[in-house]
Amino acid sequence: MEQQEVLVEGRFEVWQQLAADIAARHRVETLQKPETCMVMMQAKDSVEKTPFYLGEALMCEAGVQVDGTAGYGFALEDEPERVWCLAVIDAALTAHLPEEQEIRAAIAAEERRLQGEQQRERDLVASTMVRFAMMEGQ
Amino acid sequence: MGYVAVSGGSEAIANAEELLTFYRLKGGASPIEVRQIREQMRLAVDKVMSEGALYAPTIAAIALKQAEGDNIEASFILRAYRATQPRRYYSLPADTGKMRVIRRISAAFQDVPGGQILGPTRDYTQRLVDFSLLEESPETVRAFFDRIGVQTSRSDQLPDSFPKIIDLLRREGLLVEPVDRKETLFDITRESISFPCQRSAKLQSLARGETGVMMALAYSSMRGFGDIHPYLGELRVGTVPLCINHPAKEQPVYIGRVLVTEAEIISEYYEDEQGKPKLTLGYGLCFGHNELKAIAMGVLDRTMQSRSPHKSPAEDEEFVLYHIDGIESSGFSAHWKLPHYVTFQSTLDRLRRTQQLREEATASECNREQRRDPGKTAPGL
Repeated sequence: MEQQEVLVEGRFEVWQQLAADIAARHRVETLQKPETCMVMMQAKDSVEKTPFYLGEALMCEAGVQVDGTAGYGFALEDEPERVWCLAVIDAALTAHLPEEQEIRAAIAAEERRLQGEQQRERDLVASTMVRFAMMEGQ
Repeated sequence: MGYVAVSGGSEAIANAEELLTFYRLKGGASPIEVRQIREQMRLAVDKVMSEGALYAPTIAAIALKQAEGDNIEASFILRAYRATQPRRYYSLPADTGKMRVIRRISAAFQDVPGGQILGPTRDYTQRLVDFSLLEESPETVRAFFDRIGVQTSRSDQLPDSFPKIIDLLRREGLLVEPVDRKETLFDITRESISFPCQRSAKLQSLARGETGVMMALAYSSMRGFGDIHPYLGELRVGTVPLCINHPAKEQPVYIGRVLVTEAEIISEYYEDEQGKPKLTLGYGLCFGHNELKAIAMGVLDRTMQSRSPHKSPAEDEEFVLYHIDGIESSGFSAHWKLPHYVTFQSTLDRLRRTQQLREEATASECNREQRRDPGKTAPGL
């Protein structure tokens, strides 16, 4: 999984704790307070390869500076606290703060957990794989 | 026809709105949690998002609660919420080839590369009422999760991605080739559509259409009002990654996954530009898990390509596209409930005047006949 994917799909409590630890030790300034907005989703029709707009998705974004380094957080839906935490973590990783190893370890642990969850779901879905047999005389 | 505004009734209107809450809660049951709606009424939430044209599961669940389960009303609320939000980004084109599939079937081919995955479906159930749901409790839910998957054979692994079935037909030269339309991407939320309509506008309109009316129109074609006999080449349900470009980031940014349903419809063959007969296609894609809508969209996409000089309703793109939006059609249907006192009074005035003129004309005709033939009895006497 990509790092951004883990951050977006991982548990909020994990990122909240990390962001709180960083904010306790470093100067965090808001560049862009968490706000909802929309992203127009583009799709491409697989029949004629025509791009078109499928509809909009609600998203949330925030920007911060941690010790002068900018970071941004994004997520679908109205998730102001999550995107603020993700912005803090993004800035901390970009700035290579001393907490970087701790953050990367937390991301790796969350990735393993997410992969385990996904594998369980994939196994359940795979259990519905079917091959319909034609009946004789048909 | 002109419209005349009415005023007054503010208190009654406010009370009427409050009465909705009274009727929603007067049964005494615990208020439904929005999370419960979002997770356990997921197909209703998906329909609201698809028809409201905004992917926002929690807001859609709130709208459903607010609308007491009225799907169209909830879509209307979601569409109104959408109008309060700024659009800051356009996503990169979502690639359904990278879909994390939870369901994928083909009704056209028995053996498909990657296999047929039934996924979560009621297609093969008997639709008997499940009375055990009356007794569902945290304990039964726990027992279910302990049980599910325990007996599952691990021999079948899902591939990371599934090849498109129509690509197999395309490689054999059996499908019409995509037309390079050189069209700009049309946005129906920014410009009004005109006819003939660009394909991107058609697909956007269909993607936000109301499931019921789309199904009815597609059904009319399936039944014979048109000449389309569709085959379901492939139906997929799953999530696709959504990425945006952000000015502060060099690489596209992943912001989450969106659940979609995609249908590829194979239909009658036409002769292509070289005179070679080839199968034609229709495409359906919508937010959420909504198979009937995706199939209906694919069928309507194909019916609107009809070359028939005598088009049935489902083949007439103006007819289809102007009638599938649930918010527009419900809004217009519902507006008849609003006061039309003045317009109706003017109708009554015209009717009374017309009746009066008719009576006067009849009386005058009788008088003329009486004068011509004094012995004749007047009609109706």
